Amino acid sequence: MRKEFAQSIINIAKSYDKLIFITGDIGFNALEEVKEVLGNRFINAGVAEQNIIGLAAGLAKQGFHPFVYSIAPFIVYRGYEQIRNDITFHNLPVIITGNGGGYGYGIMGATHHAIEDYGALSLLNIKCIAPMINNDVEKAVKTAISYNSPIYLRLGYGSLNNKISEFNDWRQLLTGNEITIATIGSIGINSYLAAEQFSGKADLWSIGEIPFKEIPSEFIDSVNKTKKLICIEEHVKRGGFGEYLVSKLIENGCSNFCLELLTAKGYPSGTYGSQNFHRKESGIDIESIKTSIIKMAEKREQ
Amino acid sequence: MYNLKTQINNISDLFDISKEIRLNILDLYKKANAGHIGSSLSCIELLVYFNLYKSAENDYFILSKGHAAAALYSVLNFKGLVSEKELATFYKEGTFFSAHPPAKGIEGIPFATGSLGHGPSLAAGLALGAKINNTKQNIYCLVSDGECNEGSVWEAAAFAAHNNLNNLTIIVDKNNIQAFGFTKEVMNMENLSERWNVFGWNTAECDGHNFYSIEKAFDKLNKEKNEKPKCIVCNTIKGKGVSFMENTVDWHYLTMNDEQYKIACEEVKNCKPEEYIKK
Repeated sequence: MRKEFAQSIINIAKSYDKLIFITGDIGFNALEEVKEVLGNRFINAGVAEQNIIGLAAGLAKQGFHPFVYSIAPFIVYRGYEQIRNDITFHNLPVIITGNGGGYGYGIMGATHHAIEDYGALSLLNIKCIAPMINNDVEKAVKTAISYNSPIYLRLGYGSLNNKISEFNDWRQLLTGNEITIATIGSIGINSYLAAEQFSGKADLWSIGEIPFKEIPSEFIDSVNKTKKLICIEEHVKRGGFGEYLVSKLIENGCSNFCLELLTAKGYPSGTYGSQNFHRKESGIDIESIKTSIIKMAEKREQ
Repeated sequence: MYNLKTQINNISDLFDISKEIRLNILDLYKKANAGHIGSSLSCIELLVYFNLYKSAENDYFILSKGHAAAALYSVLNFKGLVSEKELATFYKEGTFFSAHPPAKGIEGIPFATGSLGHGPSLAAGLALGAKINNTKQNIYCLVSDGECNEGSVWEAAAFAAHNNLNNLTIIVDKNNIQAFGFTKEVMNMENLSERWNVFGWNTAECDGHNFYSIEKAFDKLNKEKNEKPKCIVCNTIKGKGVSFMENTVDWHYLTMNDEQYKIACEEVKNCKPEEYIKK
């Protein structure tokens, strides 16, 4: 999504002079044009994420709308206290952009993964916006700007050959009447490719932001009808999307359903590989998701 | 213009103001039965000079050593930004005037501080924003010498120098004592001025309690012809003005009993002007 992100920034910055872009020395072969177009509104602040967050807060105080950009774990975890004290205490409109959310950086290793990112930031009441496919990115960026408050923009990788509706907080991607599936961010691609095998059975929803606004009544109706819910995310279970969704469903009086939370499991074997390797170890690759859907369907027959 | 309590005609007038503020701070801490007295007393002249005297209305001042909030609150009171009634809520339930500066509710406080090492980055962001906006603003940020233990201070230092943020002034309250010991024993930050200098800053040193010394050092920095940011390392005394508090680690935290408060006020009232306004 880096290229789509860069293009979106270029498009928006041309007519939005409050936009300012700070990178933590990341963006080779992706942000060169952003640098050229933004001129003095493009800042490479070096490998110093704590400082970058403070800088962004200062710039936001001066009326700018800063994007800060780095590899997801670096920008989320290194400056966590700065995010809390400098940005959220003052509700400043800084858009923290993390590239490679989840296991996105694959073989680069665990230091480069972010599988606790939106959970950590949700503790600070920051909204996470997570596009699913490359084509979602421009609208996701515009949505992030429109909130005019602290945002975490979680970028991943991937596209889908199938045409799906445009990015939104709630999107129903497949309709079915046996199992309800909810997913967030780019793992939605795996979820889609697995669920489409169960035509007419899997009711698949892609969620674009957490915390989300009201759950659509159609989604609650779906869970009430299927009584089967699978939540899929590339993030650890604790503090994740699945836990949050389930608590919200219960608050809405929807509590009678079988549940499976498919999440990132960390590093079960202690070894490293591609993004798909780690997804497979966590049971969120396409085949594992299919197996989980079948198991859930069998449960219903019991 | 600020509605200052006293007209400032001459730099020597600042002495009377700092004396009044010192007494005000003692009163605040006594009523609150609170600590951090020594840390506030060491930076009064710096706050009076840079926040009260030098700052224009659209300038920014960040107290990065947020534990000296009482000193800042008193100065803002003197400036007319904080009322007596508001100030009297210091440490009380439901106050904006907590032990460290809050995020909201007080004019003249742009950012919540209290966790050390945040101010320089915030100040650098403000300074860069002013440059891009082409507005003539000066950004002041007061840090402590112990605070310079924080790595983020030096990230900001490198950034500000690289980006020629000459509208930024870092004021170091070098009182040589931090929370749990003397700085030279905890983490020796000797040659602090040189450290800032090699990071690319124009630096000067002064007696941080003598207004003429502060002014001389600041004038020197302002006469520099380059675009480097400014750092003024101010030699101060923790607990300045109260003999039993001066240069002690204890008075970072201790609170005053009635007798100590009485003695402290007497000493401040009878202090020698030449320590503060000696040319």
